Amino acid sequence: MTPDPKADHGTSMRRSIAGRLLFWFLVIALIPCALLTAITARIASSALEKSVRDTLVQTAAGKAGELEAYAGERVRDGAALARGPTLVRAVRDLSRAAEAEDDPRARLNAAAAAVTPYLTYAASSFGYEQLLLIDTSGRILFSLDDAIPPGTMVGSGGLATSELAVGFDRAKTLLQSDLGGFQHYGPAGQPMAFVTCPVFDEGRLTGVLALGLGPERVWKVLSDFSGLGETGEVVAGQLVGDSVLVTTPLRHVSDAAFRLRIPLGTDQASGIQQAASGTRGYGTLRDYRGQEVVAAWSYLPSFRWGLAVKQDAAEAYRLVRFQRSAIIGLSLATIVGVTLAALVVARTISGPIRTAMAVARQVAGGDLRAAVDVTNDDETGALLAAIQTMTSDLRGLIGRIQHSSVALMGTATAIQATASEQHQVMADYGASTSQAVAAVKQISVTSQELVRTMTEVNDMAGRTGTMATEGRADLEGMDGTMRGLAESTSSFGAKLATISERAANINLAVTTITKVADQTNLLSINAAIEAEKAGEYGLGFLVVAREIRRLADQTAVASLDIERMVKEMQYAVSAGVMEMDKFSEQVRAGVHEIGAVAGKLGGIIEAVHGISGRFGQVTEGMRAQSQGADQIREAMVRLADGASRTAGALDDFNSATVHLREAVGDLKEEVSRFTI
Amino acid sequence: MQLLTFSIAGEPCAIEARLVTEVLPLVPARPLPQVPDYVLGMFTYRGDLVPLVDLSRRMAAGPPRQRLSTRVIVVEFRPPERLADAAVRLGLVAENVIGIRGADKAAVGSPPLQLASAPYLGPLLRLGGETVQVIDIRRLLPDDLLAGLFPSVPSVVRPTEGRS
Repeated sequence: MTPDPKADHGTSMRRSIAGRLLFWFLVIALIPCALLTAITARIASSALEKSVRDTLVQTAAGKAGELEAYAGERVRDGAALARGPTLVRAVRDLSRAAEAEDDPRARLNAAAAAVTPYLTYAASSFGYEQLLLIDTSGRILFSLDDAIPPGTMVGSGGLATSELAVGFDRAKTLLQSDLGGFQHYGPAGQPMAFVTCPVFDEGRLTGVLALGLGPERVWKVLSDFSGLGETGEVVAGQLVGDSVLVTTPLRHVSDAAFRLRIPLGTDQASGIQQAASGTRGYGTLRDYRGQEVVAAWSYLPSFRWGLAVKQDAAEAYRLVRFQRSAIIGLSLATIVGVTLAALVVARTISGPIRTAMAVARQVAGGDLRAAVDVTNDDETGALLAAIQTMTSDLRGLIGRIQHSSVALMGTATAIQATASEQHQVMADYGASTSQAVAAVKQISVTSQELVRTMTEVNDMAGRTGTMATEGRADLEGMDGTMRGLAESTSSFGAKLATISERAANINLAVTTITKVADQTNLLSINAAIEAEKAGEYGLGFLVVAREIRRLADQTAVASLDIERMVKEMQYAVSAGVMEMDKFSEQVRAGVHEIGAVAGKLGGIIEAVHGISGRFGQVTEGMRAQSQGADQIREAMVRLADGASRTAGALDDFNSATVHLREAVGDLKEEVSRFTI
Repeated sequence: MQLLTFSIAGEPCAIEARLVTEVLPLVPARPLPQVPDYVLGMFTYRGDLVPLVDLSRRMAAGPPRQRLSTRVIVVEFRPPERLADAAVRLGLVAENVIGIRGADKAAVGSPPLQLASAPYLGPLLRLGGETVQVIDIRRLLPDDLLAGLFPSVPSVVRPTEGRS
């Protein structure tokens, strides 16, 4: 038993054991049973089929014998009647009457009237429906009814090809009694067969006696279906041309007599075809309805008919079918019973094995809690008990391993945590050292730059001192220039004030002139308007007004627009004077400020000289600091190297711890698969 | 026909002299609230309060320059569609009011203009090489404003002369 594949192992084993048991149970129990049943069924159905055949053949033979006997009896009765002296005499009398010279019909009727009572009695006592007396030439001398009237010739007209003519010929030539075939005579009524018997008078043939026989008696025999079940029947038929004419009423077709024709050579009703052809036989075939039937057939020589006794195959073999279905049902019941029994036994055996397998699979899956019920004390019970013992031992062992692995796991985790922590500390330490190195390096660089900058600043301070000295000299020159400018500005302002005063005087004069001109102009306009209003009388005045206006225009109209210009000029001049005053004030302030600046520059020059010396001291200090920073940096680099080596060692230790923890984890996982 | 000439924004204009009562120097006016900007206010003329209208602003040419020749023309006329005897008096401010010119009737250059936005524009005349616009002062102010400025009797005077 291998553990893989787990999934369908159980089913295959189950199928194997249960299936094999089932198979052999069935083989042992069912094969003899089936053989026996088959043989018995075969024998029984043969017997049944034989009995059906015997019944049909015997029935056919019985019917044939009965009809043959009836026919023989009728022929014998006819022969006896024909030999009777009364009848011989009647034939003689009737023949003479018919051959008389004068009025043969009346004499024939008279003779017939003399013999009618006897002949009617004879026919009814023997059960004949018709009685004919025929002379040797074929003329009918006497008839019981009018269907075939006296005086008719048998060998001519409608009767020329009839069975009656055939029988007449046979009786006249063979001189013996015989039974003819059934045939319709006249327009209506039943078909009729004639028994023809020769009539001898003193050893000489004087006529023929024909006795008409109805089909009822024959049909009665053939319609007796006793022993033929529900569907059995008897079919009779005679050969007419190339078809068989059915001569009996049938059970399924009541008006088939002398109407139904079965053509020869078809596969329908082949029994009656063979019977009518004179063969005897038995077989299963299709009848005139197309139904499958079992039939026995033979030939009736007296009637020249074929006779077939048949029964529907379904009915005939009903017993055979019943027997077959009974056998099949019993066989199925036996198979089911045997299968159930086999299954129960197989389960009884395979059940404990399946339980053992389930437990084993559970253990394989890691679940050790499985409990086994030991219910029986045979070999399977012992197997289950052993498995239970094994499971409980395994459970104890795994439990101890699990406890140990948990403790181990805790230890490994603790070691790893410590190692990680140390590693972190070392890493931090290394980083701090590196930062310190970088910072010191930065300080060193900065110090050097500072030294350089201080040197440059010192130079600059020296130059600044020089430039300040030069600036002070320039400022002293500028001060003198500014003072000159202030004086010039003052004199310019005074001149502007004079201009402004003159402009005001001009304005006054112009204003006076303008006002006069304006008044004059206004006066002249109003005068002109008044003159216009005065109409014709004002015309002279209008001329005067115009002259006044022209005068005013000439003197001063042009100056109407001057006044404002002069005013504006005057205003501009006074504004200029004010601006000049402001400017000279500013120049004076400038002169003062320049003096102050020159003083401050002197202070700056002295300070710059002092700063120059101090810058020298600072530069020296910075240089010393830069050297110290370099030394610190080297020391810090060495410290950082040491820290990184320590961190590497800690890394190795840490990875070893991780491996240890992984190994313990694997062990724990393996053990934890088992559920206790 | 005599015309009183003046200028609006430098362009020569004129009104009929027979409608003019008198030409005055520029006088201050008392302003009126809520009136168009060309109505400068009311001023006193011989004891009556007369509306003062700035022709320059009325003809959309901005305020007039303050000059000696900027004067007030007092006119009296009968507004159209008023009673036959209802005449009103207005003061008009214009620049360069310095002359009167005679004009022949035949010298009329064009018929009166028919502008809906400026109904006061009269005919254009050729006078001594200049094209002068005659202003029809009777249509200077819109009807509603005229009715508002002269609502009652005191400002409506009976015409005494100058009617033809």
